[in-house]
Formats: sequence, structure tokens, C-alpha cells
Amino acid sequence: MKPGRVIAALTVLAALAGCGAAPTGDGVVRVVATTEILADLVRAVGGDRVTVDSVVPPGGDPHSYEPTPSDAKTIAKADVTFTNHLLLEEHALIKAIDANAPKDAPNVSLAESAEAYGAQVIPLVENIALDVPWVGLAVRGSGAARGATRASEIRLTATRLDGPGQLAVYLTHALGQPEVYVDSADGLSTADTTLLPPDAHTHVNWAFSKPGVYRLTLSATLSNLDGAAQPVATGTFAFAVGVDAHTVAGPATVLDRGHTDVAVDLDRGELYAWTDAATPGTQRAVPAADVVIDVPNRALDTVPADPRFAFLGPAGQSIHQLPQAVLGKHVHGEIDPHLWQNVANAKAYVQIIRDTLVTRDPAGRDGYRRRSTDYLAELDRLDHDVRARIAGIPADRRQLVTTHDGFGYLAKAYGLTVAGFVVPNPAQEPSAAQVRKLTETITNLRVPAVFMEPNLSKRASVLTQIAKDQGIRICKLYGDSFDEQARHYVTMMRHNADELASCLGGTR
Amino acid sequence: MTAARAVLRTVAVLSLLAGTSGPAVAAPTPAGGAVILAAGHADLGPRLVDGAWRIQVRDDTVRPPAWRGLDEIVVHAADATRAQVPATAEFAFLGTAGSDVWILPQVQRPDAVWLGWSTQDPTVATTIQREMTWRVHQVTGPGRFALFLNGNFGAPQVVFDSGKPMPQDSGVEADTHVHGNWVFTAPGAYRIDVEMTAASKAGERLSGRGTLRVHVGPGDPAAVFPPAPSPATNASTGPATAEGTHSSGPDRAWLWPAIGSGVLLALLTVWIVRRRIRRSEP
Repeated sequence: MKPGRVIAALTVLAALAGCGAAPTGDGVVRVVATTEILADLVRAVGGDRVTVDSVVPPGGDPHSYEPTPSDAKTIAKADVTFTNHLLLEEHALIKAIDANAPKDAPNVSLAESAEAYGAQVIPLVENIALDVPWVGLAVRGSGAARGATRASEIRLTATRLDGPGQLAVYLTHALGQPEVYVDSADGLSTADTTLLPPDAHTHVNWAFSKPGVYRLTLSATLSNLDGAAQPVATGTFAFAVGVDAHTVAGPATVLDRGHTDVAVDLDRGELYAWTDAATPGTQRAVPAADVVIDVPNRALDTVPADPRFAFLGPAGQSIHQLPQAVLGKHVHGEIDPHLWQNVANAKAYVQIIRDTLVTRDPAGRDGYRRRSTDYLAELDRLDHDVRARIAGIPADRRQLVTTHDGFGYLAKAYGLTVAGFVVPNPAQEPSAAQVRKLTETITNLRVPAVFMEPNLSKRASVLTQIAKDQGIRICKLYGDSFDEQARHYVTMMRHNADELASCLGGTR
Repeated sequence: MTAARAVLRTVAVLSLLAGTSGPAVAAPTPAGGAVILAAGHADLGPRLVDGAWRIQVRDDTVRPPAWRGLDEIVVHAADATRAQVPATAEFAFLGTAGSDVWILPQVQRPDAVWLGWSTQDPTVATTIQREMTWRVHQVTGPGRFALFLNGNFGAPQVVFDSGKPMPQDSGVEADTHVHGNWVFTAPGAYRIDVEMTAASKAGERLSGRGTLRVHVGPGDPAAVFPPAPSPATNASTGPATAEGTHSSGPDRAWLWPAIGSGVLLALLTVWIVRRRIRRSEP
């Protein structure tokens, strides 16, 4: 939303307020927020001038809370209502707010307004198996100095593979027919060759049979119309499959996102990674020897029963596979609702709350401004401390395994990896395949602890069982709600940082 | 995308559009021959041209690459691209097993147009918010049109399917370049009415609309698409606003102050139903 539009809307509401619809009581503004976390932020800004009710009770889960008739009465008396986002709160809750809130009461969706206040928003991931690096093959440079023409052929041959299992590089054609370029299971030979024309760019599947570190050596030759093949380059690329890429020795650039091509450069006579992983929007060359391509446990899949895919191993076997297409990982137009797990986003919420309260209750302006200024400074200190605490955890142990997909912002803002979760949304039940994938993730990464949200502990039997089986710790992270130990946003975030440091920190 | 989701998405789109102005349309196609693209790489995507957002095709078959207006090209899926629908349930949406289809494939092959879509033009890549909406309003032609990607082990992920209610939407992230399989189930002339919409980082609504013309199978593509007025195709030689709109209307203003309006309630309902459906998907 454009800020100008927000201001215009607020101005209209201010005009209404000035026409006698002043807030009730002795200058006290009644605010209803859907969750305890939002209510706490409102109290920090509103101080004694506001009365704040949270519709979801202490310890309740906003994903599933159904409002009661008494909630409707509370909402009907509100001067201002704050919700987070459609995808967080149960629909009945949003409906209760929209149906019962007085028509002249501002009804603010904080997550949806936050971007205009500088919040960093993450698109909602629909298919985490696609939230992985996208690795193709390319030929770059004209090769004119080597006599290359449009009719030339570049042969990219796998000559050596070191690693705990097998690698297959293949393409699936439009109607489902696989074409195998490299298959180490029957040994590597000249058959393990991809033929590419100049300027080629294609996308392939990379399937690894076991977790671990692999090193793949490729050799590129150029054949012009005169027939003689001339060597162009060789290079060795490392892949961290299911294990933390930071554990791979060497001066490595970890390619864990974005689009990368294993590229033959005819002009430079080099094989390198042509990647936008570190610099979104711009691709750059990173020498093969400096690259580790991350194949995370999100990429775990199962060999299908289709005999055309038997080259990948027996049906039902687990493989790690980087797919040839990654479109569709995000839900079109929707965002991850858990913005406050990044303290910088909570600051955006606070500013929206301040501006909304000032508009609804102009007489309280100075107080709202003073309290929000103080609170924003406290949030700056919080952000700094959380960052410092998490930075103290060794890089390869910053792995987050949780009950639901509620910590993407925490991970992105403070340098953690979302290694896995039981189900994306706490209202779902995990399938057998999801449980197996999570178990393998924890084993492969040697994750020292899993994290449970207090409000979801009743539904966390799956995670509890996995942790018991693996003999690892079960720790507590606050996600969508408080409990009796944490009654404030700042307390909750400090707990989260301390818990991460104590459960993941140290050495194995 | 399940059928149910496609329909719901459509409803959401209609609700969203209520109250916003549609793109300007209808300038005559200039006389003169269109470029026939029958092989090689090309990408469909928006660009800012003379201050207007326009959908164009970047033709990489010439050096240097040329950006062409949609009314300046015809894509040809020649008979070499013909294949048969396999006898697996997941491809049944293309027709009965063994029937002919013409495919411009997701991966490069020398005898077919390799047609992708992109938000990577420098005037677009870093100037729009997270995601562009790519909408197909209508497809006319002798058969069915579908655009899909191959997921793991080849499973089709359908982006558009003319056999389902229109319009249909897909999201394209900023600064991405994607290829898919463009499939046609009968030879002849197809017109795909497309619109690409995004919000600029400053909150302006950017939108362009035009008609992509595809000729499938034998025959002369130039003869099939005579230089005549085409309802949704806009002339690149017309005024700068003919194809693209560059309005400064609110991007998501409906999200907040419109509380209580029917539009928002409709959206709430639709979104929540969509959420429920997604939850229940595997």
C-alpha cells in the first residue's frame, strides 16, 4: 500500500473522530488485537492510555483459535483493532473482527501494512522441496578464437566422482521421459557425456544416492566442423549433500540458493560456476575449485516405482535431488505471516501501531510518540543482542528443526538455516513420508536439538518421538504465543536467542 | 494446480480487479510481415518502453538480441514438434493416450522454439516488488493450449490450461527466467491474450497486455495471421500508452481502508478457502 493512501485513510478516520465519535472513557482507547504478541506491542506504545484485549487467550494458538460470543462483545466495543495476517489467524477470528468491529474503528492488518514501513517480507513457500539451488549447464563465450561456430559441439564429460554414493545427472523431457547424461552407478566413461551447442543453457536434475560430500570432476572439449576435438577445460565441483556445506574444507563459496550454471567458458578456457547465489540479480563466475553446491535435506525425495527411473536405484529408496525446475515453490501473492520473528519487522509494526493510535486519539499523540521512541530503541538493543547471541553458535550448527514452518524470518534475519519442520501449518497432520524425511534430516545434519513451541506441545508427539529416538534435546522456542514464563515480546525473543545458543552452541 | 484451485484463483482475480481500471486496448496492427520464429531461444516478458510497460518478446535468434512487440512476431510450432500423449494418468489432461500434441519444450532442442518467460529486463528486474502476476485472459484456437513445467520425475505442474475457466494467473518472481512446455492439441492458429502486472517499488501499478500468436503445424504462419486488426493486440507504433498502462493507482489499497466492503469480504472468503485446500493437499 502506498503510504499516501494510508495517511489519507487515517485522515478520514481522524475527521470522524473529531466529529464526536471520540474514544470511549476518560481518554482511554480500547484496542482489540488478535494475538498476545500484537497486544503486547500495542501496550508498549499505548501505555496507560489504552486498554488492550487479546482475542486469542494466553497460550492459545492463533492458527486454530475459534472466537466465542464474549469475544464478539469485546470486539464490538473496540476503538481500534489489529490483526496480523489472513494466513496466521483462524478464519473465524478474522471474521469475528470484521463482522463485529465498529465501522469507524480502524481495522489494521499489520503484516500487510508493514512493507510500506520498511518490513522485509518473505513470500510463502508452498513446496519446500523446490526451495533449493537451481543448477543447470551452460556454454559461455563465442569460442571464436578456437574456431567455434554455430555448428560446433561441446562435450561435457564426467571423468571422476568421489563421494559416499552415486550421482545421476539427467533431464526429464516434456512428456516424462528421462534422458540420462551422467550415471556413476555403472562407472564413469565417455558415455557420461552431455553434448551441448554453443550458447547452450539447460536445466537438469542432480540426484545423489547417499548423503555426504561429493566431488565431481568434469572435462570439456570442443569439436568444430573439421572434426578434431580440442580440450577446453577441466574442473572439480563439490556438492554438500544433506550435510552442512560449511563443513566442506577449502576456501569455499557456498551456493545454497538462486540459479547456478555449471558453465564451460570457451573464451576463457575455464569450467566455473556461473551463479547469482551471492548476488541476486547479477550472475558472476566462481572458479570450480572454490564452489560448494548445497543439496539440502529439503531436496530429499523417493525413487518412484516407474521403471524408467530405475537408474536412480530401487523404488522407495531415498535420494537427494536438485530438480530441473523450481517454479512453484512460492504461493502466488501470499506472504509468510510470522514477520515479528525478525525484530526489524516488529519495529515496523510498532510504527504502524503508533500512527494508528495517534490518528484515532490525537490528544494522546505526545505519549504515543514518546513511548514508541523508547520502545523502538529497546527493540534496536534487542535486535543487536539476538544477532550477537546467534552469531556465537558455530555456523554448521545453526540448524533449526521445529514443529511448524514459523521461523523463516528468524532464520533469514539472524543467519540460521531452516533444516526442517514436521508440517508447514500446525493444523496439518504429518504423512509417513514427512516423518521419514525429517528423521533423515536430523540424522544427516547431526542436529543437536529440536525446538518445540509451547502452544503446540500437545501436537508435538511426532517431534518428541523423533528426538527421543535420536537421543537429542528438545528445546523451547516461542512462535505465535506467550506462556507463563514469557509475557512480553522482548522476553520471548531474548529467550529464543538464549535457547538457540544453549541448545545448538558448543561442540558436538 | 487442482481444478478447484484454478477456479478459486480466478474468482480472486475477478474480485481484485473490481474498481481498478483495465489496460488500454485496441490499436490496429500495422500492415507488413511479422517475424516468424520457428527455432531458437526467445523469452516473453515485460519491459519499460518509452515510459510504458509492454509485453515483448526478446528474440535471441539474432545478434544482438532484438525485442519485438507481440504484433511483430508469430511463434511457429512446426510439425517437427509433434509428439503423442503418453498413456499415463498424469498427462491425461493433454487428451487421450496416443493423440497428437505439438510441444515447444521446456528444454532446448534445435528444431523448436525455446520459449521462456522472464522478468530480467533491466527496466524490470530490480524495479518491481517481489513478484509479477502473469494472467492469461483468453485463448482462441482450434485446440487446447496448456503450459506446464516438469516437476520431479517428470510430473507435470500446470501453469495455464485453456480447458479450464479463464482468466488464470501465475506468479513470476522478480528477476527470474523460466522455461516451460507450451502444448497445443490441434494444428492451426492460436491467440493467447496475456497480461503482466506488477507493483513498482514506489507502489505504482504497472501493467501491459497483448496477444501472443502461435501457429501450430503445417502451413504458412504469415498467411494464417494476416495483418488485420486484432482485438487485444496493441501496436508498438501507436501512442506510448496504447499497450502499457503506467498508472499511479494504489497497489494494495484495498487491503486496509476498504474494510467492510464487499470486495474484501469476498477476498477473505476466497483466500481462506484456498488456504484450506492447500492445507489438505499432500
